[in-house]
Amino acid sequence: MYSSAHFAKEEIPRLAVVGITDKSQEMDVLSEDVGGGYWHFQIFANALKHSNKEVVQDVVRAYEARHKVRLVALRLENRPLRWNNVEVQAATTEVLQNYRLDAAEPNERVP
Amino acid sequence: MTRRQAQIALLLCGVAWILLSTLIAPGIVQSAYDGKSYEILNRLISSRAEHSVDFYLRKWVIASWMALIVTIVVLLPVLLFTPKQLFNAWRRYWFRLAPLIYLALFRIIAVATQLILMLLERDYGLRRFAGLAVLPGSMYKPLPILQVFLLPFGPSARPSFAVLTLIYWLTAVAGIGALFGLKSRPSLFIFAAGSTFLQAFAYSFGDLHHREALMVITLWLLALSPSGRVLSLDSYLATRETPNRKWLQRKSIFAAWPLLLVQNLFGLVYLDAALRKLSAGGAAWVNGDTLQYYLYKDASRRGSEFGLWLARQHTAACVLSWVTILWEGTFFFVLIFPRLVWIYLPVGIGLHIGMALAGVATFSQFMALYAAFIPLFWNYGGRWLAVKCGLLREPVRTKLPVADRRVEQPVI
Repeated sequence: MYSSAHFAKEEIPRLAVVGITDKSQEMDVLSEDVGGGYWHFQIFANALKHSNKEVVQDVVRAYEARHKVRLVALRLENRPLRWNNVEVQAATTEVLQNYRLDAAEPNERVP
Repeated sequence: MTRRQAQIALLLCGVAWILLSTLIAPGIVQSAYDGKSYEILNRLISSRAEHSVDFYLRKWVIASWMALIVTIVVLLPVLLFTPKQLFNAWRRYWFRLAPLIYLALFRIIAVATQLILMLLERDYGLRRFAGLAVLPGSMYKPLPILQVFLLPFGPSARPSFAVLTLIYWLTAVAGIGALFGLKSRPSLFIFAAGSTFLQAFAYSFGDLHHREALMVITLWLLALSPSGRVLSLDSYLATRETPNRKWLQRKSIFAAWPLLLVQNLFGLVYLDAALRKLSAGGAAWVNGDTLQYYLYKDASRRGSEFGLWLARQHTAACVLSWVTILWEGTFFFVLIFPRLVWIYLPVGIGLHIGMALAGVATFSQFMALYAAFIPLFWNYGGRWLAVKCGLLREPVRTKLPVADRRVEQPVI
C-alpha cells in the first residue's frame, strides 16, 4: 500500500460518492452509510467506478432504508488534495462516473 | 554424481542463468511486449496501455535475480553438507535447550496485547463487527481460512452478528485463561482459533491488511508450544506442594523454536516490505516527496496534527525514508549479529510509534511481538547491564580450570 513512489505537486486522490434523490436533492454518501469503515467505502466507490451493479444496488438499498429516501442516481467524484511543503488544500473536483440507478446501468447523461 | 560435481554443476547453471537473463531474456520481453513473440508469452503482458516496456524489463530483472538467489539458498546447503549434518544443524538451531521463562513472558505479552486490542480498540471491538455484519452480501468474499471454519455450513456461509458476538466473548474468556495460564493449552487453542476466525471474517469484505497476520501466527505458535509451563496458574497449581520449585531454571528443547520462528518472520516481513518499496517505487521511494505524500494522505484523513506537521518537513521526510528502507532491508542482520538488537528494536519502536502518531498506521501487535527478542536483549548485554546497575549479582566464579568448565552458550 505504501510501496509506490510519488512526486512533488502530485495530487492526492479522494473518492467521494454523491447520491441524487428522486426530489433532485444531492447528498454525500459517507463511509458510515456503507458500514464497515473507510476501506469498505473505497470498495463501494471502486464498485461504482467499475459499474459493479450488484454491490452498488446492495449498498443503495441499505442506504435508502436507513435514510428513508429514494436515490435515482449516484455520482462518483474525485476531490483531490494538492500539497506542497507549506500546506495541503483542496483541488478541483473531477467527476469520474455518473450512474443512473433506475436503469441500473452506467449512464453518462445523468446530471 | 559426487558432491563436488554437483557443486560445479550448480555454479555453471548459475552462470548460464545470469547470461540468459541479462543477454537473451530482455529481447524476448521486448518482442512479447510488441506482440511478436509466441502467443503464450504475448499473453503474459496484459497491461501494455498502463506500463511501458521498461516496467516489464525491470520486473524481469527482479524476478530473475530472486529466482537465482532462492535456488542457491535452497540448494547450496544440500550440496555443502551431508543430510546428517543438516539434520543436526536443524535440531541445534530450532530445538536447543532453552529456559521456559522467555516463552512464558512472550505468551503473557502477546496474549495481553491481543486481549487489550480486542476489548478496548475500536478496530477490533464488537462495534466493528456490528458494522461489518450490515455490509451487503455482494461484498462478502470469505477468505479460505474462514471457509475452513465454516465448512459444515457451506463454502459461502456467513455468520450472523449473534454468532460473531458469541465467538467474540468466547475468545475473550479463552484469552483471559491463556493470559493467566489456566488450562493453558486449550485456552490458547481457543484464543488462537477465535482470533483467527474474527480476523478472517473482518477481512472477508474485500480489504486486506497485514498488521494482524504476525499476531495470529504467534497465537498458534504459543498454543503449539509449552508456553504455559511456567508463569501460569497451571504450573502454580501443579507445583504448589513442592518446596523448591525453581521455575526460573526450567528448560525445554521446545522452548526456543516459537521465539526463533517469530524472530525470523520479523526479518522476512521487513525485508519483504523493503523489497516491495524498491521494486514498485525504485530509488524514487526515498525522494522525500513519497513519504510527504503518504503523510498528507493519511494524516488529513485521520486528523493527525503531528502527521500534517511532519508532512511539511521535506528534509525530515528524506531522512526518514532512508532510515525506513535501510532499517527494513537489514533488520534480518539481528538474527546473524544479535547485539544489533540494541539498535534495531529501539529504532523499530520509534518508527512504529512515529507512524501511529502521524496517523499513518498503528502496528501495536508488532511492537508487542518484539518481546520475542527479549532473550537476545538479555543474553547480549542485558545481563551485563543488570549486574553493572546492581540489579543482579555476578555469577559465582568457580575455581575449576577453564578447560573443565561447561561451555555456556547463549540460549536463543
